[in-house]
Amino acid sequence: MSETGTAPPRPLYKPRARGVFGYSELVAVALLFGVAALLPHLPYGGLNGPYWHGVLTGILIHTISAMGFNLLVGWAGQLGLAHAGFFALGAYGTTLLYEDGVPYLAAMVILGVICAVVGVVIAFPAARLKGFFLAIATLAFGELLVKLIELGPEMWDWLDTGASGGRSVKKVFSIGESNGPLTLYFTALIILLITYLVMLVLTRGRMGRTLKAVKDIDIATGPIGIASTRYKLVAFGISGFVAAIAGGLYAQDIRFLSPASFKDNMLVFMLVILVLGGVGRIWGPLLGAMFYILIREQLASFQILRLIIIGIALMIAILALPYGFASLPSRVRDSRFGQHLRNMPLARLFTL
Amino acid sequence: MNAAAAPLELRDLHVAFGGNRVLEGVDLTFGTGFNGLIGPNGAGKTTIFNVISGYVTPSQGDVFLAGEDLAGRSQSARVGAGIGRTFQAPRLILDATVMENALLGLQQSYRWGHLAELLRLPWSRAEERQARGRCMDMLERFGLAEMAHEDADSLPLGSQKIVEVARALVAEPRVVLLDEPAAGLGADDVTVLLRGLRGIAAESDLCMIIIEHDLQLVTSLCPHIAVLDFGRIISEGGPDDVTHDPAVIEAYLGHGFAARLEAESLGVEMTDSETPAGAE
Repeated sequence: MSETGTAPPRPLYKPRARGVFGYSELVAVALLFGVAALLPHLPYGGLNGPYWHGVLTGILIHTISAMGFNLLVGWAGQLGLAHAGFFALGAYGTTLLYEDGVPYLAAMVILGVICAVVGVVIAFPAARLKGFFLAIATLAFGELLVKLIELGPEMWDWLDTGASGGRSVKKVFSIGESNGPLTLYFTALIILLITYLVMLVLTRGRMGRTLKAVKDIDIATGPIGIASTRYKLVAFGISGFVAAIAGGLYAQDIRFLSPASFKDNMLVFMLVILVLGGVGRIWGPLLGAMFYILIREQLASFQILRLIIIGIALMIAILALPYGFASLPSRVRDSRFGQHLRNMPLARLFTL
Repeated sequence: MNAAAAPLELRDLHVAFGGNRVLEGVDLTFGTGFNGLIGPNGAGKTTIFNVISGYVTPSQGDVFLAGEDLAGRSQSARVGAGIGRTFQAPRLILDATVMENALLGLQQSYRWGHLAELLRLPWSRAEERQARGRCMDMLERFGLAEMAHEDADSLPLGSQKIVEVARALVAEPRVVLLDEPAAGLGADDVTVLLRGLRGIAAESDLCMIIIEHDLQLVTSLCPHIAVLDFGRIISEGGPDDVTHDPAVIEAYLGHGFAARLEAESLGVEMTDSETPAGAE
């Protein structure tokens, strides 16, 4: 088809920055997950104690959840706000299925599939809505799911959700009290790794650019050959799946489920993680979850005052980095300080 | 495919937005090569494009692509059938590279699904590589290969419009709809654009339909021009016929246009007898 001229062939892929950390994303990921695997064993500052185990597990679970949310909101640009509802459905559903004798991980996957299907079904009408209208409709649907969990037991006896009073959850994974194994932490870590790799492959390739097109050029997608509705359905489905998986882990983490904890404050929490970390950026969810959960935990002793401090901290963070923490490297790179850094001999090693 | 059928044929198109009748019975046949579609603002030119690409459903009338009725086909299915288009204002993903934007044009050409992509199956990756090769060839034609891996928003507006043209052409459509491709382009950009378009026209039997207000460009490029006014075709034919048609001069060109054309020695001949009777 194309004649091969005398000119050297042009690179078909964007040349990647190379250097110590530039070799491949996988090196960075391996390093990061290695650190994450070591972290709960370090005998410093109580990192190997139950308190920090809980905090670290919480970070992993919310990172997983936010990664699914990010695909829908950050890449496909669909402000679907039923995420907390799917998260709750995953938490309760996995718990109930497990009590009926289904292995826990299998129950998580089953609930993932159920939430993916429900996500796709609500996406059919939702794909016709845009922006605020989509947000309100899906918000209502998420609340409906939580209401169903709360009021369901009044209608169906088998639906043992404990109604508004909540219910305890049978322990399946060891979470590391009294120096036991950290099964939950490592299960979450492995699921996070898988989720990360899936998101990395999806968002870097054809899926990613198509979702970006759905977000950015919307009505023009049809005439250039993109069946945008189909992609919206897929994004809703994947994010529902991931939310349910994260919900299943969450139930094991907190071991007490109450509808109140899944209501709108949960959604706000998820949105804060997403925005703080960086909407539409692969590392955003991890950075957002780390920042938010750490600041929340560190300020626990301030009680009422902590909400005010968190609020102020969020405002400062958003003002300083409107595209989230994940935009920090590119912000530094593009700044005058970054130009300066690049001229330093050491910079070659680190490829900013 | 019916070999005898014209690449694109519009039969008796009617479109109304509420009480506003935008197209009132448009019959047009487009052949291979360059076709011009001109007319004053609001005449319905872009609406014709929207009907062809399936964004607007006509209240009456049909669109035939190589003899095949497109009624009921979705927009993306029409792209798969061989229709490409650009927009007046470029619609690119600004934080994606030029290459990625061009690749969007091949969306309908992929045989392997996203699951194969996710699993990074070798044939899916080979397909992606091949698609990138096709895009690179197309970008090369339009002088954009150097910028293939730059973000689209780092390009000047003119280049962005050319990226859109490349995106519309990369899938090798049968018909391509170019909505004011040269508007807002600098002289250099226009040269690059036209060189690319002419190259493709010479090598393929692509049917290009161009909406353009730059009449010198249209008359020098298109052997066949249709003039639209108030949703009707008021004139159709070669550049000479159209620019001297009294109805066109009245509705669109204004008197003296033909004289200007001649003064700029574009080879359009004009005789006194052809000036409309009402000319001042």
